[in-house]
Amino acid sequence: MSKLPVGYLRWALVIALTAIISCVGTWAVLTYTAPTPGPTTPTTIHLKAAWIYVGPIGDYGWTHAHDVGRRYVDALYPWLETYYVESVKEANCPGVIDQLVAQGYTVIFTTSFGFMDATLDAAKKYPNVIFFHCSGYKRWDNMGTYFAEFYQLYYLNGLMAGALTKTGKAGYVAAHPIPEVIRHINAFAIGFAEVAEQRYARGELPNPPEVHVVWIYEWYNPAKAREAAESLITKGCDVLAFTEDSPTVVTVCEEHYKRGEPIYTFAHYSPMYAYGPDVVVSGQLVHWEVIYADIIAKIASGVYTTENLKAVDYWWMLHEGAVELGCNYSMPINPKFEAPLKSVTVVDKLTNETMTVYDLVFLRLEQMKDETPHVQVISGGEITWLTPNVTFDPFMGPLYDQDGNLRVPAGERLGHDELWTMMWFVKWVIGTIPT
Amino acid sequence: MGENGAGKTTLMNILYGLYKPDEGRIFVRGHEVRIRGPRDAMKLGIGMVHQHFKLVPTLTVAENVALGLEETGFFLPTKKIEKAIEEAARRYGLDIDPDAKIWQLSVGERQRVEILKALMRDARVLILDEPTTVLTPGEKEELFRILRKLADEGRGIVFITHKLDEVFRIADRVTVLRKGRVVASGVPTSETTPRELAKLMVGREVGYKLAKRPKEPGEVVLKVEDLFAMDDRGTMVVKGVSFEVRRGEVFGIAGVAGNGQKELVEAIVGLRKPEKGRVVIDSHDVTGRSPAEVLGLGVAFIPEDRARYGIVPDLSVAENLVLKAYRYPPFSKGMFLDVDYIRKWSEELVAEYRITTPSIDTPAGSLSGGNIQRLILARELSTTPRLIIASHPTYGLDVAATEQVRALLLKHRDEGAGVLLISEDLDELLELSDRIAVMRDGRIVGIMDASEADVEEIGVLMSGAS
Amino acid sequence: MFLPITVRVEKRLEIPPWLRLAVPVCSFLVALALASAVFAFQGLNPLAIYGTTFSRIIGTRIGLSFLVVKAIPLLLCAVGLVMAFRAQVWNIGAEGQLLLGAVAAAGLALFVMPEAPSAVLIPAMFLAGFLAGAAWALVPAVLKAKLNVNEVITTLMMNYIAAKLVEYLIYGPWRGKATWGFPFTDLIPGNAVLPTVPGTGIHYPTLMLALLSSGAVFVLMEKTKLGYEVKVFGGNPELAKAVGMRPAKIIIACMLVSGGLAGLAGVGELAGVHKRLMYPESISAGYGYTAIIVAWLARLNPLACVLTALLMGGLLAAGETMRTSFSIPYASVNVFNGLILLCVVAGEVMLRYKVKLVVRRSVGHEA
Repeated sequence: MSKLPVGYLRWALVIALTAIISCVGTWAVLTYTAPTPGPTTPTTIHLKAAWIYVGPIGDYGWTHAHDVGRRYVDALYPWLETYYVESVKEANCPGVIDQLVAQGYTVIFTTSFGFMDATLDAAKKYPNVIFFHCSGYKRWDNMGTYFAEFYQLYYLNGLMAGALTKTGKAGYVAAHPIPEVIRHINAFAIGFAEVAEQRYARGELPNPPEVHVVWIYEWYNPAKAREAAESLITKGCDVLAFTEDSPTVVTVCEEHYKRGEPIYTFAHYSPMYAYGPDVVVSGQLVHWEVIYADIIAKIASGVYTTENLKAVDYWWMLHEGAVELGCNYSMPINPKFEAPLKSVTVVDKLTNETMTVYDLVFLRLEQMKDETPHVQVISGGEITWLTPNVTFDPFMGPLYDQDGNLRVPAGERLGHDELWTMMWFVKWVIGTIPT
Repeated sequence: MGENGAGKTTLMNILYGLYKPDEGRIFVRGHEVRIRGPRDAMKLGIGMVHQHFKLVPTLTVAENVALGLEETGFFLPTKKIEKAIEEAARRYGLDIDPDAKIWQLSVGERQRVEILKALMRDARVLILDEPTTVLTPGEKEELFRILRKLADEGRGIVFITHKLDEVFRIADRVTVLRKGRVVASGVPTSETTPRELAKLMVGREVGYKLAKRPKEPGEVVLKVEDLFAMDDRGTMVVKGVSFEVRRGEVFGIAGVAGNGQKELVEAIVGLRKPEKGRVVIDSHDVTGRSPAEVLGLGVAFIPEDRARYGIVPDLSVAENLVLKAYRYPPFSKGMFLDVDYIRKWSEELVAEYRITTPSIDTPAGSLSGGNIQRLILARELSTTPRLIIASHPTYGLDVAATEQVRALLLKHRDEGAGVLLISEDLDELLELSDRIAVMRDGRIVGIMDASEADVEEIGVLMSGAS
Repeated sequence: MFLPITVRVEKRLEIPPWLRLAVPVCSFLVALALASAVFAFQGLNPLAIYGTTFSRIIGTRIGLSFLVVKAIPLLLCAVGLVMAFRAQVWNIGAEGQLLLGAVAAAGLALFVMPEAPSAVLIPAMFLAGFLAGAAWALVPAVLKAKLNVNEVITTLMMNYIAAKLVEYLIYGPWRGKATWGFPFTDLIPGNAVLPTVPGTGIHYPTLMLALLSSGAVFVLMEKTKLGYEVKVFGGNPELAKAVGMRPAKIIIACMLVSGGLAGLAGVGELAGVHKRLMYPESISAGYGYTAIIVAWLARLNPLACVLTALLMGGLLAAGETMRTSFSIPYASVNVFNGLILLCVVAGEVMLRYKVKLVVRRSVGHEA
């Protein structure tokens, strides 16, 4: 026996590599079929729009809801070509925008507050591209902003919570201590107290209404949401609302229900009825497609240009159809809770009329749908917000803060700017805002 | 048998399935076999006691033995194993506490566990790679008795060694390896002589006796007074040791491993806090001082555990050589090292101490054992020390390296250094020492002039037989 | 009859220099080949993806800018980690140290000296960032040096504390006046913003600092007593102690350099990219953790970190480019990045072992 080394690593590698690459390459080229160009649409309009998401489209919350909206407009307008990039870290946003612009996208939606500065920088850098940023407050000639607002829904949820509680204590699993979330907690507390104070006065509740808040400092964190929900339940809260992008709180409530301990809750952002049919009373649903359809149509028709967006700000609610009350589409109240809600009566503080909570919810819903509570006036390219006379808005006076100060006198109500910068809790809330 | 690096261990690792042969065939009981791993080897009845112990330091003796057993399940049957160990220990005379953690044991005790492991697997062919190096004479005798018994039972024993006396003491036939080749195959020991084998092994005649000048002892360089120290397990193992080492003399300490020598040395150089007593080097009381302070007084330390205290395996030969000197000019200036000077100096040392290495940039860990020891000696002795503390300096070395080390120690003695030599090799002690102390059970049980000492007397003192 | 070829695997004693380059390159190509299967299964043409991605990153200013911007913090953190890792000090806390650097820079630019001219303010920010990162690293360093507390745990915990500190500041005392209540500080003044290479986002002061630090740490490790002590301590701590090196000094020095460089990265991210303090996970896209991979890929060589940081920056840029150019799901991009890292790491084996093909010839009988 004798040995004959025919080669070293380099030859082995070269041979193996050539083999692998040529095989895979050939196969890949063979299996790849170039997309055949479809029939060209006769219309002259052609718009390429791209969405930049902060999370994965499968998050069942914020990003999922935006992508539902994107798919809707993609199907609605045959001349619209859409594209999305998911899970974009905020630090990567400028680079992603650069690349999308390089590929010819002329409308770019950035759907995270953290993208605001990057979007503004890009707007200045690419004056021929239209940008729309969701949830921010910075605008430019070619950069508008939009948001679908939930506070009316939280108020309606609060009314129902007030009718269903037995302890007089509601809980709120809250994401980040920012004005948006604080506004929603307050709206929920106002609704809750509107019913629960009357029930307490009638001796139906052991104590005056309280809304306990636990901050989890995350938009999405099922583990922390579960922990927070359990701690609220331990404190005696038997109705929970939340701002967190998962159905965790619903699941926790359903578990307690199964153990014979009914804790009720409200869906957030997506239809969560299926996660807790025994415990989800109602909830907040969003229809971003309403806003997207409007923006795209106005861009296509030349209403929105790269020069006039500095004063374009969507703050759409029930009136515009951008949000919907319910735990499932077209299910404003879980049928299971119709009877309980009809069994509690309250006096409408506007008319002193006695009615069931169920009726009050739908009365308020109609009142808020009929009129828009905040009106834009544009002068000199700047937006000013007015508060017209409306039949009803949750943030009508008198409202007191936690320290007993009168924040909103009777007969007045909070305007857009006060709500946007809200950094105080109404008196029923137990919890602190870190400062 | 064969010198270090002759290929003995490699050959045996092939038999044990640790290395794959490039070619050639292996027959076990007449059948050609392919051994793809130790599991195969064990199935074929081949057991091995490695030179470097394959033990998990943080586990107990019993757990280590259990890990080596084929039928060990997910949970270790420690209770059963402990019983078996105690019985085997009684039968073979290997005295080991099954609950002791391996890291707490001395090198000699660890080897006992290794031997026990192989024996407990009931191997048909038992390979022992330099098993006696760390055993005491008593243990060695015990081992030889066991091996003889096993051979008489019909088992084959492959006994790897580079010690001639052991070959003639235990082996029936001997195969000599030199540089990977067989130079004598299966020669019955009755038909050869130690001189002949030594010649075959090194390929040249070996001068056996070192020329040794009569001693000229000077002032006391090391004084140890009533020293007490504990081992890692918190047992007092050095119990009131006192002695002096003078300049220009080699003071040898004989004793069976595990009688406190390791702890004594560590207590002297500052690696271990003494519980009581005093260590004085020249006129400095260094009791409980840090090793750096002790070694800074011109002490060279040739450690027993070379991997632990001898080298930094990942660093180059040059970087290892400069370990003690780097701090001082001309090796460094200010915060910077003089890399060029260090390289030049290292090249010189490598040549002077005959360190066989591809280059001074080779990682020290990839050198052979003998060359690692040469590197340590080069580093420790190049600074002309006043006191040399050498712990088993020739342990595991081949004939050539052993010779070199011994000559170096004597050279420094002649130049006026005091040498404290701890060894289990009685021949070495007798050859090098001017005075020999015998240590047993943590105490010095006798100090004698080497010229008046004889092996039997020392053996009696070591074993405690009277 | 077997094929008369067997594969021999041998340990290498010496690694030829050409191999150090060839192996990673080959590993990279293998990874591309493997990933192309993933893409082909999704009906995408892998060659088109690679071609487009490569040309868009290397061939365009946008792509290159993206790559370098990512590489800057990675390089700074990795070079610092190299020093710590060589001492076997496992600093997992570069992420937190980076955040502290950002906090220090923001504090200086917003509150301490917002009026100072750029020539004063920017160096001051870098200095403060270095000190803040170093100070943050000092806590686990002292705990390890004096009490032998495991630094893996402490540095990791310090990351969480750093993130909480940033959150506290942006929700609390530092919440901006012009942010409509949102949890961000105000933008730092223009004189605190780092200049960029025109047309790109490359904040070159930080880039130069990063390259400089790579060279400085190399000199530190190879030419100084401290570097030598770090290597000895990392290779054999007991021996290092025995020859009189002071572990506490070595551990603390490594952690200070490591933390300080991560702090510089934080200044760069704050003043060069975000221009305000915001959510911790926005300030750093996990650079402190990714830098661990960068340091290891460079085999703990600070100069090689320049290459590996660029490679990692390129990978991140490639991921984003693939996502923006083709409808490739995020998960597939992660698979692609994972495959490349896996192959490059696995290729290390080839460096340490030699694979030989050996033809066996039977002597004297049948062919």
